[in-house]
Amino acid sequence: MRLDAGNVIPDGKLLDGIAKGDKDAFTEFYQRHNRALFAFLVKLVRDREMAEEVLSETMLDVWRQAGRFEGKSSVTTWLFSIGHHKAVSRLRRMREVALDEEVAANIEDGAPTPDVQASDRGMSRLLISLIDRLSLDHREILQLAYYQEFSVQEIAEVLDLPENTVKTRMFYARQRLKVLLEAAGVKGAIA
Amino acid sequence: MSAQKDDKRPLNLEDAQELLPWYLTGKLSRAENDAVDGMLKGSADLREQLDSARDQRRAVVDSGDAAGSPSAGNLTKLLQQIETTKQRRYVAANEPGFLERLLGPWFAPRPALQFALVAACALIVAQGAFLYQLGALPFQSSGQPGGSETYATASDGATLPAPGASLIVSFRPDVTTAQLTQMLSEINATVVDGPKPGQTFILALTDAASADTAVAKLQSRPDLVASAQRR
Repeated sequence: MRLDAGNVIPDGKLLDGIAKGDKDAFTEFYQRHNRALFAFLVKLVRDREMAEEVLSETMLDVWRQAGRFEGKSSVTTWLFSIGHHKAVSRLRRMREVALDEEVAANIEDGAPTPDVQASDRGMSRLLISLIDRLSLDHREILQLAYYQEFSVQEIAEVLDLPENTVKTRMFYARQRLKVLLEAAGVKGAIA
Repeated sequence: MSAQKDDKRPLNLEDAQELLPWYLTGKLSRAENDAVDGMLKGSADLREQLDSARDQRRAVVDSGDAAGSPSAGNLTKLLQQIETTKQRRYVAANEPGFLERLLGPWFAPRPALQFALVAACALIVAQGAFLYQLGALPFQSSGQPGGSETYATASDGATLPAPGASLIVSFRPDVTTAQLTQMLSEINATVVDGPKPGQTFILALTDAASADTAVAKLQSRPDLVASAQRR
């Protein structure tokens, strides 16, 4: 399947091609989604090499399962759902989920210096280090809402959760970040 | 999503707090967006939370961008992997099974006929086992009850080429039948076994003395041949 100049083939059409064994369609699909999915997976598993392995497993599943995609959700949420399940399963095997908070607690504190606190960029860097200390569930939902810009309904599909749980989980992720910010010396931090 | 929680009551401050992340990314319905807008005008606390959410979002985006891309070779490896990865087809619940496709309209709607077919198959298998026990079949293995003949394939050991006159050759997965035939013709060889896993064949040479020449010739075509050696 080739791209016509100026024409973007919809994801659904690419999946149709992949289901028929079209490697060009698979390549196009990979090139379209690999960066976003990789960013999501890196945040989940906190290891670039493992994220790349999970990305490959996810894309192989796309190759295998493309013919079974029923269009009940969007292609993107279907893809991220596969990636989420593969990452969680990998982490479970490593027993990291149970130890998540313990691992997080061992990450360098990242408390800001007054200079760092003074600038927006410094605040952003501090927040990045604090986000890495959040639990898997919280890191994941922040990524899906803020980086992937998924709606509540889309996140519910990816994580297989009720929409209300998505909203409350996001709320608690922000609350947790607030607590970490205050512990890092940022006064009046508000989630 | 609707602007009303549980489709009944209007959004309250807590609901608006929960929706702030999606307000920022423009993923709320128009009604929800308007409701949050209205509450932001009347609540300094909510406005502060929105600023805070904006900082969080910027951090998450910066952090995601910093993740970069997977290595350039990842796609190449994947394309190699899919060569050997089977695809699964979607099977609808009402799609006919193997027997239904094979037997067509005779099979599907008649449970009694299905039962009769299964019973007939079982009977044939049972009869075969009984005849085997009696030694009435022509392909008995020696030493088996009632067996007097010896089982042998058409190309039994006697037909295999002598050591040195045969080669073990692995061809590339994308070699065509025409290329394979051409190559065999050039080295005066025939296939005596294969393909085995890895596109591997046992080739018999017409002239045992030409084995080294044949190996060299095969090895000179790395585009077609992955490995070649005397057996």
